[in-house]
Amino acid sequence: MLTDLPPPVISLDGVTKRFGRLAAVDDVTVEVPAGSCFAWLGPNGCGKTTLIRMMLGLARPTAGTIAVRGLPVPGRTREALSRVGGIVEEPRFYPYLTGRANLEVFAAHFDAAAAERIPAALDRVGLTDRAGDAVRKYSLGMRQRLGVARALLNDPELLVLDEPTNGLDPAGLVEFRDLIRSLVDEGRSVFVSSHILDEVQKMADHVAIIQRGRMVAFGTVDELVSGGRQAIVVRTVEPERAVALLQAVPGVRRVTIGEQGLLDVEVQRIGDELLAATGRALYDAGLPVLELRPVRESLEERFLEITAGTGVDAREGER
Amino acid sequence: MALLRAEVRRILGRRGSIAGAVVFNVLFGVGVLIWALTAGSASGDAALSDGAALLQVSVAISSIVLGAVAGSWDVDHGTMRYLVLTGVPRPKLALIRAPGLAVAIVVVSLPAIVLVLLAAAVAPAPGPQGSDGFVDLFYGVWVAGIAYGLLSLTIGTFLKSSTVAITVALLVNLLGSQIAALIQDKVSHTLGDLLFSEAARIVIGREHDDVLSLGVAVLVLLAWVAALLGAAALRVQRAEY
Repeated sequence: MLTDLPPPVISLDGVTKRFGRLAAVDDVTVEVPAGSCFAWLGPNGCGKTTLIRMMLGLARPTAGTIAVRGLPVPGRTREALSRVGGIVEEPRFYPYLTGRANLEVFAAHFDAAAAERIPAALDRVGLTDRAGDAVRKYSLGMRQRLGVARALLNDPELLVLDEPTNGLDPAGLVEFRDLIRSLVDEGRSVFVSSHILDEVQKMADHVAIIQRGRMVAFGTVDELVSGGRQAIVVRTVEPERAVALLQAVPGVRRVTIGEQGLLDVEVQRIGDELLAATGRALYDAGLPVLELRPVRESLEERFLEITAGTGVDAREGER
Repeated sequence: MALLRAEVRRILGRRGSIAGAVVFNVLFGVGVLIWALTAGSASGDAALSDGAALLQVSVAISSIVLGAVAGSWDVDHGTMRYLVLTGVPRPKLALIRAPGLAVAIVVVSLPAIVLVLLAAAVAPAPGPQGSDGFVDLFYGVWVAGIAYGLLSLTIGTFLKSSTVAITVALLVNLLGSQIAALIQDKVSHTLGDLLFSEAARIVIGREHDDVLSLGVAVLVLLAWVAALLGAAALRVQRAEY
């Protein structure tokens, strides 16, 4: 589905994780392109965190292979993770230490340069003023930001962030989106898992949808959305007559009259030419066009459509 | 060294358990000091030897608690996965806790040791303060603390809850000497001496058992410590976080 992708920063091939008879992750194969924001989208409990734990060498796959930055995990985990930062499930710290002291403790596990990055990391997530407070006084949103700061200590090529927007207020969400985009603009790769569709649509370049441990869709946000239903809404003075006219327009699949006489023109693929042809068909027949607008599904609608056939309540995925 | 400093910072930063351990040991030190000040017959030697004997018990108990917490805290509180994510080899993450714990044990026992030294100095009948008293006070207290602390550290590494780890570690240490005594009595004295608790008792007391010489007991205890730390490292190596 994806075309012209940069080389993968994460490669998963047939990755499966079983807990007894339950397959938490089931035969997932995907390549995450480098230098972009990739979102792993699915409802709670669908296997997102399990997959991330395997990618980061925290858990072993039952079957399949994983490569991070081209290196096998497990196998060359240390080398693979040397420039990977992450938040898994939720950011955990030593609550009795200050934010800065926490970063110092973790920086001690990297090279000497990691400690020098602490001020910049704190500044980047907007915690410089609160860095001297004990982490137990932090809100969840602040701990999320401190988690990102910790993930930046080893100057990562890849950031793996599991549900990173949990606990953020609306302003924090916007800031966080900007932060992610700035990281991608610097050439880093960001892998985000989320069940918040709206956030993913605004943040991610590529999306994979996971349901019950299986990947059910993969592509760019545009590709996923454009794979769904596309239509043109038309309002004119004689809707019954317009139906017949529009049915004859090439590219139109079906025309129905909806509420208040609005016409729902379902098309194969929305484009400027089709929009113009729709308007022209009515105009040439002497019907005034009062309203004409394209309608594309949101990622949320597409997500629900994709996951509806899996036998699981797709609305789990809603915010 | 950076890793060790970070480990010490983590352990000493848990001010509740550290303060509790300090206070617990200081209470014993204060007891010895009061006895030295009030008992007319108290001698410096007695203050040192009795104080050392008391502190060996109190420091061992506080070390059992500190060790259990040091072994289990990171898993219990979810920080272990972030330590693993740093890429530091997992066995190293497990093993660095041992010297970190040893430093913490020295720190939490020092105030009480100072009190016992003070008691020896102020005792009305100083007597000949031989080097044995000082050895018992420093060597005996710290070896007891570190030995029992490391046993608890390993127990803690295998458990996911600090509370459970403390309980299990206290029980194991409490029952260990009873089991060793039973084995010595019912099965084989030699086999009983080879158990951790008996080897530790001989090494801490610098005794010469019927079966084990002090030197052999030291070797047996070191073998136990190596096995315990190896088990902890293996556990961390194999665990999923």
